[in-house]
Amino acid sequence: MLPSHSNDASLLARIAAGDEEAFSMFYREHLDAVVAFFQRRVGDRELAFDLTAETFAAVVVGAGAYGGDGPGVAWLFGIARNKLRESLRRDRVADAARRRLCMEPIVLDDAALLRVEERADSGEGRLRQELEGLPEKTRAALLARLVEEREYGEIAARLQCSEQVVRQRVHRGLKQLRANLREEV
Amino acid sequence: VSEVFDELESQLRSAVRARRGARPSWLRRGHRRTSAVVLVAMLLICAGALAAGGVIRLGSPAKLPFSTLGNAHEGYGALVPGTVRVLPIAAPDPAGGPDWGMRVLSTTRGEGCLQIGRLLDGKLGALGQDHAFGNDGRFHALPVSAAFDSNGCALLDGKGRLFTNVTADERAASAWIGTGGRLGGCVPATAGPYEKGLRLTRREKAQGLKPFPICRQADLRNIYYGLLGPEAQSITYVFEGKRHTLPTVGSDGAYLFVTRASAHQLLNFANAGTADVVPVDGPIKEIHYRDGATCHLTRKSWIGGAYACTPELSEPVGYVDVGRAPTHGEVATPLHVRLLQGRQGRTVVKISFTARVAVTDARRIYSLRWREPSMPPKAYGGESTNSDIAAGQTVTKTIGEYGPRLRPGIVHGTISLQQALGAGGIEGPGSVSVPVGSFAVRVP
Repeated sequence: MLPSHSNDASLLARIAAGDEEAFSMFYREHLDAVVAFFQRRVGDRELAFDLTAETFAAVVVGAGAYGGDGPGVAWLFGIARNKLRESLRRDRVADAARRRLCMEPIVLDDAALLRVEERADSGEGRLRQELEGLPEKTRAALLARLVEEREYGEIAARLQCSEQVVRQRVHRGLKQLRANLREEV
Repeated sequence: VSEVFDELESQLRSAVRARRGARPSWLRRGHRRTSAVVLVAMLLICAGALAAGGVIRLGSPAKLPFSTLGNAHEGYGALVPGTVRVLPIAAPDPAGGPDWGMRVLSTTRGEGCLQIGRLLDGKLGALGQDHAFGNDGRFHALPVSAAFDSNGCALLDGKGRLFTNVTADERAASAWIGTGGRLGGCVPATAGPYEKGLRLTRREKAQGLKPFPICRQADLRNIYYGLLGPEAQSITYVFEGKRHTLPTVGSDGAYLFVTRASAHQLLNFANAGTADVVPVDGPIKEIHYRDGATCHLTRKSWIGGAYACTPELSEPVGYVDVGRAPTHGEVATPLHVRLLQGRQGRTVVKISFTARVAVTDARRIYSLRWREPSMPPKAYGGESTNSDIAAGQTVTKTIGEYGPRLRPGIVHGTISLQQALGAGGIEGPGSVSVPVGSFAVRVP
């Protein structure tokens, strides 16, 4: 059973303290979105799984370093983006976090790859559904910032508003999305 | 959450749990600087747990275009169905990735064979690297036929157990022992010109065959593995100046360890490794037994028997001899010797006899030894049978058909039946040779 009011910051603090239940809550809450994030960017199910595994391993390794300065989900996706960037630069998926945790290799057969695709679809679908429910201007700002990963200045120019306004729309949109998703959970 | 993600979650939960008790004090106090020493130690502790990239995809099983262990009545015989056992042993690879594992099997001709490979989900396989399997990075299961290495085979003892020790030098970390062909592979720089594919025939060149790729030194391994029997408790080996004691596993007394191969080691691929009833020519220095005895392996261990250990032990401890040798009276039979004209005007000596004692496994052979007039003292020519022979069957052997032509003069020879009773194999300690008959023939 997933928590009705999960709080990423508190979950990460509990993970850092060795609470495996907290990890499961955090993992299950964000898994689909992370898989979708990677699948959308690399277009390869095997790579998407590999990057997802490394990202969550990095969460386990680094949960104690999360300072609580920003939203936990932003910290998670910060890790995901770094893992992606690092992998593209090195042309292979880093596995440092999994090595530190002495994790066993996970065998991916065709059935497993299908599961990756399902998770990615689920993550995409859920996000898209929630985005549909947001006001047009907020949705445009969020898509440009989170999906297309554009700079605030560029988005402001495109939407013909100030950077400050874009930041506000993204902030509000994220808040609204989070609230909606929690409610759904 | 679906299976593969369940597995990931389960592993990560374990990691969270493990870190609860193992977090170093400097981290508990809130310092976030990572100690390089601690990190290195952690990496060493779990080296080998994860393949490069962390995910292993399954490739198709390795299939050879020919069959090994396929003939029930010749050579090593055929695999006896139901005898393949993957042993509960795993050794890390120095570069990480799936552990190395080992399995044992029996053949129809009384041999037992050890096979090694990379281990995944309890299966032996080879990795798509080191020019094997198109470097696809996948795990390819190794059927028995594709993992066959005669070095790993030896005669079973009287209780059907295998005692053997193998040193495999300069093997590719992929665990794939083939080279060339559809499945690829590489050879060490120390391999001979034929092994490197540098002496291809015109036909082979016309078929598009090319010299084989040379393995990177960093991808070469020395693999030491064997079965020492139920009485063995541990081995001690010395590697890079340090002594390591490794407990044996299970009632087979199994051991397995893998090191990087050095570019300057005495034994290398060109020496084709060794296999014997005790570990020889390798880093293993002692075998410790359950009763407290220790075999200190001597420099003459390769001879086996009384020479294997100091103090002297019945080697290998626990081995049960097999059967009995027939007497001369039971095997003696007339030999029929004829001179024939062979290919290109060669003189060929043809010897035939009717076998009185059957050969039903690899423990027995009929052996021919002869001396030619021009041979140096103590030198002799040798030939033997390599298949099952029924009692009453005619056995034929020839001399001079291939190789150097026979020189004029008298050729002396004997046929004998050789039988392995002990652990030393057909020609080692514990083997007996019973004369069948002898001959002398003048070559014009």
